[in-house]
Formats: sequence, structure tokens, C-alpha cells
Amino acid sequence: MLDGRSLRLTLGGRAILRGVDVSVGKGECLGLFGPNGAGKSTLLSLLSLQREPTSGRLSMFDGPAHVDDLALRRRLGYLGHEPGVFLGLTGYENLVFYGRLYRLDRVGERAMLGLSRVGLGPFRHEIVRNYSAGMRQRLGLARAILHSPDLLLLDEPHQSLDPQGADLLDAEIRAQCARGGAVVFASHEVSRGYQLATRLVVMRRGKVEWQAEPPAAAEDEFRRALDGVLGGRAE
Amino acid sequence: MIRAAVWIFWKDITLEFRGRELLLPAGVFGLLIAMLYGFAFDPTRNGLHGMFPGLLWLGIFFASFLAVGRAFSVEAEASGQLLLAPIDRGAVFLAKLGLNVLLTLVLAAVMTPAFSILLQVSLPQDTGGFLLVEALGLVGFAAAGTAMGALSAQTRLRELLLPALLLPFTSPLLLGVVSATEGLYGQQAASSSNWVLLIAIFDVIYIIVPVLLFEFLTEV
Repeated sequence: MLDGRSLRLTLGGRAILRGVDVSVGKGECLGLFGPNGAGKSTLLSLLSLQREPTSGRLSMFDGPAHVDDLALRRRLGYLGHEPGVFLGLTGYENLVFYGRLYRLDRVGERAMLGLSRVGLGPFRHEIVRNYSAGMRQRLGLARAILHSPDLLLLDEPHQSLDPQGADLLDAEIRAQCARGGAVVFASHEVSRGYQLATRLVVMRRGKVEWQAEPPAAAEDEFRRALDGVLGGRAE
Repeated sequence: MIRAAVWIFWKDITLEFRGRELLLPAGVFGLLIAMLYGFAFDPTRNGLHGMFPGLLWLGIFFASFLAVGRAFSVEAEASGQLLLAPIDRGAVFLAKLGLNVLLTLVLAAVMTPAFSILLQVSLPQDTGGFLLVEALGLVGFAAAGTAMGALSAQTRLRELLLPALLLPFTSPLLLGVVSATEGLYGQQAASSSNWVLLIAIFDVIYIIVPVLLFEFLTEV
């Protein structure tokens, strides 16, 4: 589904990614971990086609991936640090707007369903500016999965969510993988991330330091690898 | 592309209608310029009539600058998510251009009579010609402003970069609209039609080129 080889990215003369190999198959959930500045978000920005790598080869769905490939964009869902919604619109209007850009049919119905899935049904006609940070994050998730993407890319998706919201997000991630899609997420939530991921990748300074697949890799082994890059600060 | 542009335009109009973050400050600024001109220039002074086209257009350009330059700021609120949607980026340009044209037309509709009243200079008798010059001039300014706004939106120095780009690049347009308006007052021998042609050429260039290059403009 996704295959990146020797991905490098240099910005302003500084190497942000230094030869990352990454691959995700159908039904897989890849978790990216590591300290701030490790390159997790930058890697997600490449995978979400926000920018091209300086060098290396990125392919998706058995073809080369480029930022101007609109058909490919349609198959991706992305939720970044911010929910990516317009504060002056209602939750419902936001989803209808994005649904129309993705040319979805029955867009109003899908928007209502999406809001209900993330627990925002009762607040659908409220202006997003009045939402709490957690509600905005839920709306961001509803936006990212509205068009049923094949590959879902999530950058620290648990932030701002209460335990109930985080459980809801985990359920959506599992559902995405169960129906044959794939997920790549970056997280600082070690325990939750370990439970979610079918493959764990620990990054540091723009490189992959360690990777393994649970349950072959026990959680304490994962924590030791993470401690190695965090300097003994894994939660 | 057109359908996506219409939805983005609808979204921007809804946001502007609810927030009034672009039109209100620009409109107030434009009226303040008209008032200050009214204080600064004695309406009974000889020669003011000849300066009127320049004063009017500078006022409209400066006020429009406030609105046009911020059309992309709303996208930062949604973290540029719009640019990840599977749409031709030319649609984003067309939508923002539509918004900016509408905003500048509303501003001009408010400022032109205000300038006329406060400076006590009547508008040209050729109303159709004057409206044509205003419409073409505003479309050109909006198109250039939309393109430069996209170019500067991604940069940290956008507050500096936008005027540094927009004002020099629109100087031929300013010359054209002022001269065309003077022509309508019969103050210049040259017919205003040549200037109208220049403005129209400016408009076509600043609409077509950004539509084609918008992908590049948003990645710089």
C-alpha cells in the first residue's frame, strides 16, 4: 500500500530526514515514536503529499507518489497537530464543505453520520469556535475519515482528547485497519500506541533507530528502545 | 475546477459574513482616508479636480490592500488543509479571486461616493465608462493581490513581503486606472480607451498566469 525507500528531506540546508525506509501494507497500523525533532511529523508530511522528498522513492498503491497526484490525494486522510477545520463554520458545514471538495455523494447524510460517530451529533449546528479543543480534535478526525480513505495518516491524534475521545479514536483506527485500510500515526502515548500499532518504529534525528512488530516485541523491549532515544524518559 | 472554486467561495463568503474580518477594517480604513483627504485638501482649491482620480484610486488601492492581502489568512486557521484536498489548486485561486473582487467592489461602492462628497468633486458624466474603468481596475488589483497574497502567505515576513510585491507590481495598473479616469474627465488629450485596453491586458495576465502557476505559488 505504501513504500518509501531512502527518504531524505533537507530544508534550509538542514537534513530533517536522513534516509528513512518505511512500508505499510493493507490492514497494518504503523506507529511512529521518538523525541521532538525526530522527524515523525516531517515523515507524515511526505506521506500525506504535502511536500516531495529531496531524494528517495515514495510509492503508494503500486505507483509513484507525487504531490500533484489528485487521485492519490483522494485516497488519503490526514489529521495533523491542528484539526484542520474552519472555526467560523458549524461542525456540519465543515464536513459538508470537505465532502464536496472530495466529491462525495449524499454529503449531508455522510456529514451527519460522521458527526455522530465522533459524538458531536448534538453539537452539529454549533459554530466550531465555541467547541472545546477536544471537540475540535474529534471534528478533525471526522473530517479525516469522512471520505473513507484507504490510508489514514495521524500526527499525535490523541492530543486534546479526553479518555473517552481517545478510546473512540482508537476504535476508529482499529476499524480502519479491520476493513483493509492502513494507518500511520505519530504519538507520544507509549502504552496506547503500543496497544494500537501492528508495527512500531522508533525514530531519532531523522532516522529509524529501531523497529519491531508486537507481540513479537514485548512492551518492555519497546520501552527500552524508546528510552534509548529519549534518554530514559519514556512514560 | 469551477465547482470546487464555487464551494471554496461559498465557504469564504460564509466566514466573512459571520466574522466581517476583511471588509469591516478595510471599509473603516477607506472611509478614514476619505475623511483625512477632506481635511487635508481644501475642496475650493484650484487643481483639486485634477488630483481627484489619483487620490480616489490610491485610497481604494490602500483600503483594498487590507482586505485582499488577508484572504489567505483564513486557510492558516485550518492549517492549510484545503491544499491537501483532491482539487486543482487553480480552484483555490479562482475562489479567492472571486472573494477579493467582491470585497474590492463593495469597498469602491462605499469609498467612491464618500470621496466625491468630501472632496466636492462630481463623478465623470460618462457613468458607464467610469463603472467599466472601476470594474476592470478592481479586478486587476484583486487578481494581483490574490496571486501575491498566495505567494507571501507561507512566509514569515508576509506583512513586509506583500506590500513590497503588490504595490510595485500594480503600479502599471494604477497608472492605467488614474489615466483612464482622467480621460473620462476630459483632462487628457489621449483617449481613455487606450488605458482601458492596458488595464484589460493587465487583468488577463494576472488572472491566467496565477491559475496556471498556483501550484508553484503555494509551494514557494
